[in-house]
Amino acid sequence: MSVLASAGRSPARRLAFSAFRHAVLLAASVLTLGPFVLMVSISLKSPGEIFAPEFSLWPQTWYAWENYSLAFTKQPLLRFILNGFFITLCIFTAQALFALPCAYALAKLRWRGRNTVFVFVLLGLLVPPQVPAIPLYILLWQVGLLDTYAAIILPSTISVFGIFLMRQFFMTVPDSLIHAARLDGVGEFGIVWRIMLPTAMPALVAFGVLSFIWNWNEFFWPLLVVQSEHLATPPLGVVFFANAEAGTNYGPLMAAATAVTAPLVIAFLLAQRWFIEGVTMTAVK
Amino acid sequence: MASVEISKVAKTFGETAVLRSVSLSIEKGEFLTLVGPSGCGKTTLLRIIAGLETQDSGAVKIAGIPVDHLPPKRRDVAMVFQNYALYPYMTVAENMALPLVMRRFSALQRLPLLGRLLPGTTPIRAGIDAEVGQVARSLAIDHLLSRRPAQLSGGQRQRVALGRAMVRNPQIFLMDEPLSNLDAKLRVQTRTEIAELHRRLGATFVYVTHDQVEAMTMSSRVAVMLEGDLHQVAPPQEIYDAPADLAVAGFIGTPKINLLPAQVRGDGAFAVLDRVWPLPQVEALAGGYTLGVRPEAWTPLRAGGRVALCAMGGIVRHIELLGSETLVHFAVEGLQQPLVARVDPMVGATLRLADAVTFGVSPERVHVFDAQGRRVPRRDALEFREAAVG
Repeated sequence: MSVLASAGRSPARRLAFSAFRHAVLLAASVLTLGPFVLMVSISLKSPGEIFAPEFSLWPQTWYAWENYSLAFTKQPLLRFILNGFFITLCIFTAQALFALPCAYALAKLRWRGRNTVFVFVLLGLLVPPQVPAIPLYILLWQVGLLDTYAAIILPSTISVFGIFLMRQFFMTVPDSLIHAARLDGVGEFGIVWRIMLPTAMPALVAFGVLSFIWNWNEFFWPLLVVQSEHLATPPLGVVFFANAEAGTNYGPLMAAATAVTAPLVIAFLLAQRWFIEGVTMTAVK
Repeated sequence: MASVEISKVAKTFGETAVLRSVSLSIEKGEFLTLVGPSGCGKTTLLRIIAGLETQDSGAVKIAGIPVDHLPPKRRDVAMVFQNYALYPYMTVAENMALPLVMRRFSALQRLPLLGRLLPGTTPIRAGIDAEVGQVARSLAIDHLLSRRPAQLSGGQRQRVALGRAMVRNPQIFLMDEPLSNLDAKLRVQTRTEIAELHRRLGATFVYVTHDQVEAMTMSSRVAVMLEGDLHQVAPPQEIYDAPADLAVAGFIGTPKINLLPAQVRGDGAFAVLDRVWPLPQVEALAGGYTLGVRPEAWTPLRAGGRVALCAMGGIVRHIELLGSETLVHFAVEGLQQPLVARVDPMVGATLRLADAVTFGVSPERVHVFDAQGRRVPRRDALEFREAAVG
């Protein structure tokens, strides 16, 4: 893109364009990263220093141990984080179990009504999660599942976005690969798990990262269906923490927020290469 | 080794008829090539034999048994694909072993980790590994077994695809343009290898290609397919020497066969443009015909030299030097396209652009097609030859 845009210009203009581009990117990065840096910085400072008139990113007195130990002891923060891992893992596993066969059927099998079903999938993408919230709440109440892990997990087990993403990826897998598998004696479900799944790993990882981030950060739904503290997800936990501390003890609060955000950042960094491969959509070279 | 019997198979995709009532019987151990331009339905026919596609009507029998209701894996056929269709994340060994793994292991034994612990898994696994190794050695790819397809060259991938087809000893090999992704040099080499493989295995090969050279060089019989119809099924030389109709004559042979419009006169001779060609080998009723002359059938005639029965004069428009031969394009009055003659380079060197030339052709090398484009059969090939000699 930039090569195209700058082709055929003088070196000075190209340099100016490049400087402008970097300035825009830099501003965007500062805006995005600023709150995170501030959060980590505050989580390392003593209460006096947080409210001190002169600001510095690096703490003058190292207060990390106090803040973090308070964050982990005042509230069962570790429990919240483990809850977060358990819930996101369950949700992602279920989403993958549904999305892969669905996407395979939508992308590679020929059947009546396939296009109609795919239109419904696309429509499903347009429905915001708040719309079905009340019917789902009533349903969970009727089956007596409110205030359980299941109440958080069940409504997210089928991801229309996941079906859509995997379907788009499967479209790029050559038919001959599936034909070869059928001739080799692999059944249709075998094709999904043995042939399509490994081929679609980059897309699945990309979807996994997105699903993990969404469900880890999900605040609205767990807040509705969970009252017990021991079931709380990490964002709920941070809110509990803020409530318990009356929202003034910023050091430990930011320490809790940092601890809750860290898994997301680590997950993204680990999956970064696959994530980019997955969203750029190339299955078999 | 098994025969394949295809009777009246038809297939339409939406509005387009891809196959119109195709019947074909392929003998045991035969190397049959389906040749035709892209989109003629040859790959669809191959897929119907494999069971990957269902025909709208008609029936397929393998070894005399109807297979229309059988899924691909129960038809005992193996296929080699144009893009090889190797599983990208599996090693060469795993790719080649998969057909055997799927057939010999139970679903439980195929489970990762757990499968290894079940009784009976180890000896089966050892058997599979031994067979994969043996096939790999026969294709000289045993040093590649631990690589992944992405790390292989086109030729190597092609061998792995062949290996995966060979490893379970199928009755029938189906090949869908397996050479078209290789470079020219490798293609010539692999052509020979596949022909040798066919002789060695003795299995039935059904080979699909758009390349007439592949069709001519490898097959025991060639089936020419054009627009969903089989036009001719015959040994390669017969396809070339006696094309069943104009379409086959035009498709097979490079450069293309020369076509000349002709009328039959009262005495049975043919009026071709301003010349008269006696063609005693055919008994033609009055009417319009098309005559076909292969480029190599022309011989240049010199002024004052011997008189040919059938001759055509024109002006040299273009000379193509190919080293081993020279193609002379000569324009004939009354024809839009110049005719092409394939001559010896020594002869070609004596010709210049805009020279007036006369080429002759012996009558028995002239193909006669009727107004519907069908070949007019010879009266009696043997009798004709005797008459010509006498």
